[in-house]
Amino acid sequence: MSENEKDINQSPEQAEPSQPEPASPGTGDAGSEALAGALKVSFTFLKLAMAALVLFYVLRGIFYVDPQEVKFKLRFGRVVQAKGEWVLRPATGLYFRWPFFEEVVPVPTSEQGLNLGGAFWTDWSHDEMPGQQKRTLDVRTDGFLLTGDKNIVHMRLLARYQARSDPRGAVSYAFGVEGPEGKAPEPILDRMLRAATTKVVGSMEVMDVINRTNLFSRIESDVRRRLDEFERNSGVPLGIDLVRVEPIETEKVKNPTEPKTVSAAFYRAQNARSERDLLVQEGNTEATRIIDRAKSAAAEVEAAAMGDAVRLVRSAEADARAVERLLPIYRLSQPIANILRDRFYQRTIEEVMTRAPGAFVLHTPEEGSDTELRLMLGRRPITQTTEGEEGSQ
Amino acid sequence: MREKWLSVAAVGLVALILLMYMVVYTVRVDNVAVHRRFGKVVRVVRPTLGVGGDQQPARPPVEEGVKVYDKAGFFWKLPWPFDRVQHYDQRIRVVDSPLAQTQLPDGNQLIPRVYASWRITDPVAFEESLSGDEQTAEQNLKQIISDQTGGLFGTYTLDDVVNTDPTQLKFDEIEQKLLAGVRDRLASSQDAYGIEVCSLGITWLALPDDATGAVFGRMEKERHTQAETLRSEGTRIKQTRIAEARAEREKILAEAEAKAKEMRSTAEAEAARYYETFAKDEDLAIFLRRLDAFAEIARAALEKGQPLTILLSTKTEPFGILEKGPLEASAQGEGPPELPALEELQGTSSAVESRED
Repeated sequence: MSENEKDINQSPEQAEPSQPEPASPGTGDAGSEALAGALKVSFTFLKLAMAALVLFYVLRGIFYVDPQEVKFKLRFGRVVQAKGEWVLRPATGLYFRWPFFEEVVPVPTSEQGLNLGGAFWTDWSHDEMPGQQKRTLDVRTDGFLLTGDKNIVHMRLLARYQARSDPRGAVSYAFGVEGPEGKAPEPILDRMLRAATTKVVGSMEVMDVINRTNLFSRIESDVRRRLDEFERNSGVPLGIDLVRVEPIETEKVKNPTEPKTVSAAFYRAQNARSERDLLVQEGNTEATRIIDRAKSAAAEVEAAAMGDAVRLVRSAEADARAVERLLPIYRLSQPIANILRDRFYQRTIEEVMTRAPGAFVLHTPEEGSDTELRLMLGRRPITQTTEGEEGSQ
Repeated sequence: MREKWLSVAAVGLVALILLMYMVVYTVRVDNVAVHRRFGKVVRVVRPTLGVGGDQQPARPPVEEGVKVYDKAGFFWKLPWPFDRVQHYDQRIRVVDSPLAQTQLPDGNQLIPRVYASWRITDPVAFEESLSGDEQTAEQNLKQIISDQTGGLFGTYTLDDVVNTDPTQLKFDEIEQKLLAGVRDRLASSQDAYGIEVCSLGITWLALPDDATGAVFGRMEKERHTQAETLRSEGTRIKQTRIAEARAEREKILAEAEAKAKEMRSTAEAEAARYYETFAKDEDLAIFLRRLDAFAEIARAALEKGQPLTILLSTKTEPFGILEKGPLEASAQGEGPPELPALEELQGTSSAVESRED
């Protein structure tokens, strides 16, 4: 260090002889150097950190599409193509968006459920005791539906839907309607489902509603009609495909159901319906039995007639053959004819008598005679079977 | 020197970005924007949702002489205080009417709830009529829906609203009239808010508290009557089915009998072919037939397990020998014994009797 520099570095007070505190040679120099070195290192770190930050920020722009979604890329708020496609689909590789002026909007394509649990439902859990249920419903707290025959029912239902993945449908889902993130169409779908349910239930009898007779298919059909109407009126679709409408099934809770206040009366009516069905079933069973028996009897009659017919023809044929064979002998002479007739006759009597369990041969006395002959032939006597009735005569 | 240039570049970049923010604005695809210069509208950006050449329906026009851009993106503007750009959400959203009790012409009370989906279509009118306040727009729309609902339901009976007969149900008609009524109001100069209703529906038909109590009472009575009806219906159907089955049985049996008769008569006709042979000796043929009949009757009785007792006279051969004795029989032995006449055999002197035990 030169003298001049030394002077410059020293303050006037330090230069005074009364305070002889000489600066140690090289101290300020080292400090400056250390400071400069530290600053240099800091700047280097800062530069690296900034470079890393910039790199990180840029790398954040790399994205891909998950299996259960599609994505849109927006540049300055406008939907633009990426890799030649408006809708970015899963498994199509990596994409890049620039920070600040590009953004990516996802649309979930998995099946989702819109729960209409409380809209038409009343909580009766505080009125468990039979006969103590509330006798009126309050529109501010209780949900219910009016049926076509002016009865009241409660119902909980669920709509299952999926975002459309075609460009027109998906873009509407993402940007056409306002709603919760990822479920934008739900508020409108919710109202459509309510309106369809109100209309369909309002056109059905209460028992058909409770027995779900075409109930959910009709609601589903009406919601679809409303979706089409919405697209016609607004020029854009709601961006969903309705999968189905179904009841919310809960263990031990009937759905749809009548109000608990009248459930006892419904139970009795239901029992009566079961009784009616049982009676009808009994009637059907009895009718089937009668007809089956009649068919069986008819078959027997026809079979017997068929047998008789065959027998008649065969018998006539056999008789004819017998006559044909006998005639030449029979006509030889009267004695031969008599013998033949007697032999046939005796053989028949013999055959019958030998097989019959009992036979009486009675002597018919001449007029005025008091003699009588009774000859009983039989292997066993006929026993008396009923009181006052003789077994043998 | 190099570091100096870098610093200058960084500062310049920041300045450029700031400048860009001042002279450029972007409009997202789901927004609309009104660009004014010194308060005068110079541009409206109202992007459509069409992508890939998708045709979009025509939208209502905005203020005359104003350029309308239907693509989202970035646009130039002069910095404040010259230009001002106001953005609005153009997505479709829903609004529900308040619950209000309505008196129907048939004396019933009804509390309908109606929803409508709506969106901003003319941001200039929206801004000028409602100061761009979406909440005010919702309130006004609710009021319009409420007015229309009350007025329209006052002309329909409960049977028009809920009915099991589809020809009498006017639910769709009411919804369509409500939508038309609300749209007409929004199209009128008084309520031209620059918004459009896309859909509308009746989401609930409620009853007042006391009416629900009356319905419960009626439901109980109806179920009681229904139970009685069901039971008597069951009995009636059962009896009817059985009676029908019995009639059917008679028919089946009658048909079978007829068929049997036909078969027998056919057989008789077929058997008659052999009568010519019998006619060669009528006496012999009849005699043989009677013997067969006698044997057949006895055989059938025995097969059925019926005890058969035969009563014969001693005049009936061969028991005639009991009366005549061997000598008389021998004395007459020049020829065969006189046989009983056929009539005698058939009628008086012999009989076969079968009876149940």
